[in-house]
Amino acid sequence: MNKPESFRLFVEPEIPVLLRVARSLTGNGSDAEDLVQETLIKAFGALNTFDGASPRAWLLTILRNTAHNVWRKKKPDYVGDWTLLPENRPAFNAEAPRSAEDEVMAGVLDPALAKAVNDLSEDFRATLVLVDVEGFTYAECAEILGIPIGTVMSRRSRAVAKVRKSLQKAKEEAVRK
Amino acid sequence: MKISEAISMPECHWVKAHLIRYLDRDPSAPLSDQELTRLQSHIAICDKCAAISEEYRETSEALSQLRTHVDQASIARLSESLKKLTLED
Repeated sequence: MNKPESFRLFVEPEIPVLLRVARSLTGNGSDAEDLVQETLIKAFGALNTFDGASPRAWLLTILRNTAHNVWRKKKPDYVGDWTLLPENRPAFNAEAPRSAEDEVMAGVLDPALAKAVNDLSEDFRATLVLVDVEGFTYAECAEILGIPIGTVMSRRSRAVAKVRKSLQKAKEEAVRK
Repeated sequence: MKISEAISMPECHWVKAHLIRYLDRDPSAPLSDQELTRLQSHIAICDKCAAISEEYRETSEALSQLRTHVDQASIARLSESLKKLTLED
């Protein structure tokens, strides 16, 4: 098998993951697709730097660098625009039928959840979205953000605690009303 | 006095510090068997930590519901351009 074909075989299964991360970084689908496109071109050009160990980690590093070095110049506000959250899906067991009480509480908590996440600092929000919303492991999140795993763990832990407190406050306010 | 009131505060702090790792079970940061037993034993008798654990679990579950939808058309377009890129070489 030649090199371009091998490249395609190990990169193609990672496209959905790359798109999810790019979406998290750019905040919208069309920019995400452009960012992944640039990442693939860069990765192909840098094929000789790939050690064969972990295609995902290698690609995520290229995506992160592309986002920082190239994308920031094109879109100076790309990081921090986590617009995926306001257009969120219903939270708290959305698939299950809700009681009238659940409906009322969900009406309060769904926007409260998005607000709580959006109120976080950029570092905390990025970590929380990648791990909790997008389901990346600590190691993948560390790779994407270019930070140690220990930092991912501490940021995430503090971010979840802040969101929990915000939700608790929203619940209490809803009950008072 | 409730059992939870008699539980030492340092133990609650320790549990809170390790709770996320316990709930996540992430392969990068596993708890040792000893830590796991310590945490589970504490949660079994401390109402406050058990409630926090439940709230963390609910928060995490709610956040996972916000997951973004990956557009299948985007995947198809990128797969196609990847194919072209590698064929051109």
